[in-house]
Amino acid sequence: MWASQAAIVDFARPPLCNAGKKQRSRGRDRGRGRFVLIDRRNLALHRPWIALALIGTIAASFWFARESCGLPDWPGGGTPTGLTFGIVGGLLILFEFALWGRKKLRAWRIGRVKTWMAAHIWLGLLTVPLLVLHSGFRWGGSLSSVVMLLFLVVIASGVWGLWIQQVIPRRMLEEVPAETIHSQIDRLARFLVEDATRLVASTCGPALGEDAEEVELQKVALGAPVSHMTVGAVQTVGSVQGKVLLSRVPRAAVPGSEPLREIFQASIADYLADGDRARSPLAVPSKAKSLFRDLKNRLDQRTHEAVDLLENFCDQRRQLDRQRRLHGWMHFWLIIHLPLSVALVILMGVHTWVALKYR
Amino acid sequence: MANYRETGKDRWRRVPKDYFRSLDRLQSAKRLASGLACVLALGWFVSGLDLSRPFDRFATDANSLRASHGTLARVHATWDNHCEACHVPFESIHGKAPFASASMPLSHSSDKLCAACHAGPIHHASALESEVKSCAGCHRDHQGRDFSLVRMPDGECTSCHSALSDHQNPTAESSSRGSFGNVTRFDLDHPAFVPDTVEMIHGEARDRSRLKFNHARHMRPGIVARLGDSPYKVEDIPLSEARGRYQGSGRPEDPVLLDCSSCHHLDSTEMARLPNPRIASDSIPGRNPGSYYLPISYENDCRGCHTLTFDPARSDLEVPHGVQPDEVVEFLKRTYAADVLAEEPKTLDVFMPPIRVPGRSAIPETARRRMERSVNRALKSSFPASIEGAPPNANSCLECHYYAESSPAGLPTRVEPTRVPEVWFTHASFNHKAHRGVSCRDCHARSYALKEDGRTPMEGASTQSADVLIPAIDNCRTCHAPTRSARGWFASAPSQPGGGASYNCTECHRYHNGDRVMEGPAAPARDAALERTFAEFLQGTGGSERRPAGAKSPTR
Repeated sequence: MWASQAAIVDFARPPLCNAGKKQRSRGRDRGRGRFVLIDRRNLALHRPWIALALIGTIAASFWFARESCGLPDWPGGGTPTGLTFGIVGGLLILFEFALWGRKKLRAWRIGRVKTWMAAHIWLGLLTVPLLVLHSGFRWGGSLSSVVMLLFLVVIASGVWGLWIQQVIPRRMLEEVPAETIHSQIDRLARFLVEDATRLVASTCGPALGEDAEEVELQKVALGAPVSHMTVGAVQTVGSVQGKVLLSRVPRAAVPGSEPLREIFQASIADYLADGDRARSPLAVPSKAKSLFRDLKNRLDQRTHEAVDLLENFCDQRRQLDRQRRLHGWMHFWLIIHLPLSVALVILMGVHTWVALKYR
Repeated sequence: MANYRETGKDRWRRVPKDYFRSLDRLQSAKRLASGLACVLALGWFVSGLDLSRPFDRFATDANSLRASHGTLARVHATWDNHCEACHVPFESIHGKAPFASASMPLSHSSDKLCAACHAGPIHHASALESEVKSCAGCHRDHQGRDFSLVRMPDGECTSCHSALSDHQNPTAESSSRGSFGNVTRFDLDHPAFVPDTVEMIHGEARDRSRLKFNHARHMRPGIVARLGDSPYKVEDIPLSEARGRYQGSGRPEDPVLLDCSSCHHLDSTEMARLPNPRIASDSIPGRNPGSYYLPISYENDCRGCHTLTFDPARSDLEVPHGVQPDEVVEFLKRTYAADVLAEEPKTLDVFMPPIRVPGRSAIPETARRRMERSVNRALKSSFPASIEGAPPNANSCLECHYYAESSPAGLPTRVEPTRVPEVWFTHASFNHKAHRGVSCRDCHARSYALKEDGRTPMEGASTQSADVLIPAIDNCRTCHAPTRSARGWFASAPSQPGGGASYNCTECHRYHNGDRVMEGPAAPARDAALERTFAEFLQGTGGSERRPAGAKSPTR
């Protein structure tokens, strides 16, 4: 049995993902301006680039329309107008591509990354009218078609990424208060398993055929103190929610708590370790809640706090899985955007050489 | 140990500080995909390289295709893979490099490659040299197999012709500058049609040709001078072999009924089907079959009725057509002398038996004298002083021609040439075959003597060859204009036909050799500069000069 030494908030509250609309709305307001690329609060950063993109688009369109007057066909890439758009658009693409280097070489401090990103977004969008006008609304041959197609897919993936980056962080904030470093999810899952194992061992005592001293030694080997134990939990206080650490003081093992050990070993441990991959009913909040309610009905009152903690661990695990999925959505577009940008820059160079040779 | 409490700091120590150095799956995937994209992009292009070529590894079929801005027109499809058949590397094929200064001369390097197969005669001598584009400046290829390289958009023409004086060389001879009006669109402001052979007299267009021809009379049933006169019948046609042509499905005693196609024939193929194709081959210039009507020729279109007989006793003999009076005299002398000599050559100096003339005493004369009298009688038949009241098949020269000069004795010494134009519009082409679905009457109404009902006389029917029967521009605009819906509902009366036929400049005009509409692509002015073998032709390289230097038509 564990006695709480921290302010324990009502753990019987529904999971955070089921929080009311009002609370979600507050969370959205809280995240605005800090987690999304473009928002009211950081509009000042984007405003000059938006203006530049708009002015560039209008000026290019005006010049193109003026040059088109009296001509039988749209000016192509070889005309002074088209070539200007091509050169400017090509240089902008190189600038866009340089963001990759800027992120890799953070120590160089060549402007703020936020500024780079704002320029990346709006100058990237400016390349669309420039290069479409450069093409004269013609696909051309296979090389120019491939370059144009790559360009359009890169732009589309970028716009998709921009939209995703606008939406996902808010959802992450609301739905994953236990957010952690994405690459460390598996590692933290292992810690959850270890915490839970110690919690169950302390609550249920040594298993049949298991020496009590060995359990104590195992706890020491795991790096946890014998007399105190700290576990991570997600708590909500008012409109504030987040991950907190709770210290528990272990008491004597509770007799008759074997069902807890059995269910832990049968499903909870696997779910905490593997998450969604375990295909456990614990992945579904309603089923998990039902399972833990049944479990508490079968156990002594003194074990309920431990059961609540285990339920909390499962909730964290669900959040980590949720984070993994949202993270995938948030960054998957880069697997399209970045490689196609590389191909675009390479073939753009080839296109430039070929176009100059056979202009 | 009992007082130890794990802190948040301790807990986060579980996360290694250099966690960011190791790649997660997303980062690994990004790197892998980027590398793959790099390899694929380069590989796609490099796979077209010909490493066996030390200096021109890029000039391969695969890379030519990749570098191409689009497939070539069908006529150039052979060189889809041979860029340098048409391009001079690193020189603008459009003539003017982008951002080149105004003073920089246009590059026409690639034009020589075009001229290897087809020359492009100059458009106009007064064109500003700096504005004459290269071949590819107008004929933009790489726009698909079915793209027409000769159907230029109007903008190519109106860029100069909308303000022509601004684009003419002021130092050029005034005659070469011409007097063409400005035009921006056919249906809006194209100048009125003025054929070269037409002059304006008191505001009325009159044809300057010197042929006497009465369309109205020829188009009346029976070729009567006035309705109600005795008709000229098929059986009256003196040339027996021509009767079938004019009889058609009728009977010999039916009146002759002419229509347009009785005299106007589209091309030599149709001409060859005529029963008496005596037209000289050199009078048929090179032309597009069916585009134009052949020139009217006496032999084919007039002789059937207007046989040039001169002696009722010798109806088998005809005066040659197309010769001057002195030649006619010579012909007659030879004819009659031949008759005499055929009988007895020595009789030329023997007194002939006197011919008894009613009311006069017999006059003895030599054979020479008798021959001269026969000639004079024939000359009076061929060259009468007047043709008033002549029958439909009158056969004197005056029937159709004017005399330019006459001798004191009243005999003509020179017949004026007819000067009927071969084509009326020398700067615009017209394809009659394309318009064969339209009635001739709709364009040439005055050529008819009667209205469509076949009874009512046509007002203004042409009775003189000076009448201009070429339709005015509005007649063309009936069809060759935007549809009414495109023009707007208030632009024309609802009953007016809608138009919609093409009205582009190139519908009628040609840029190269444009003042010789009868000359097609095989004209000498469009000849190829080089002679090539099949292999050279397919590669677009090599070849030898077709003609000695200096003999080639000027090209741009």
